[in-house]
Amino acid sequence: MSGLWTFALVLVAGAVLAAVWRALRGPTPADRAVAAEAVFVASVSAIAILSVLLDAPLLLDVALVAVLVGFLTTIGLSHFVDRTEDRT
Amino acid sequence: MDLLAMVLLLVGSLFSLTAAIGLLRFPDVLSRLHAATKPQVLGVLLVVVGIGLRVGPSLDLGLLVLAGVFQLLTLPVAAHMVSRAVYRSDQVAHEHLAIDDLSAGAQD
Repeated sequence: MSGLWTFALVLVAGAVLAAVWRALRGPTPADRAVAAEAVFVASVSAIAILSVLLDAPLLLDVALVAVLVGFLTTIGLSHFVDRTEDRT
Repeated sequence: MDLLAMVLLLVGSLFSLTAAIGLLRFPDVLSRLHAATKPQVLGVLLVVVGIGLRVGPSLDLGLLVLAGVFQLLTLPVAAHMVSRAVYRSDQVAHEHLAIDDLSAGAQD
């Protein structure tokens, strides 16, 4: 039974790694902002699954904080995206 | 009930993985944004519901519901902010657009 939970964690971890790869590769700042958002969203799932696997309900607080930090990060990065090119 | 939780968990994590593969494979920013947000938030919600079925009514369930609701509320706003910044700074790959409703010619 816990094998399936581990399998789900592996799937979500693969999603996090793929998004990190996109954030590292770029090529534009906008791609990195989108990838950072995806990293945060996937890691919320990963942390929630981990809280069940480790039987540590406190990790759910971490997941909630990760949701809000991910939101603020993306908003901040989107301002950065807007400023990188000079507008006419 | 436990079987339902497992199915939701697996489908949700598969959605997350599919979204990340789309993030790697799609050609430009807007299609990557599409891949990174819509399946991703559905995946998180399915995973959260699956875990909620396993946890049962408790204080932890409240935290899970809160995380899911905030994800559902904030992700579209964040995606909108990024796409708006991309369009305003003219980083859109125009050859991939079928219709550009924001361009000057399309406005009445």
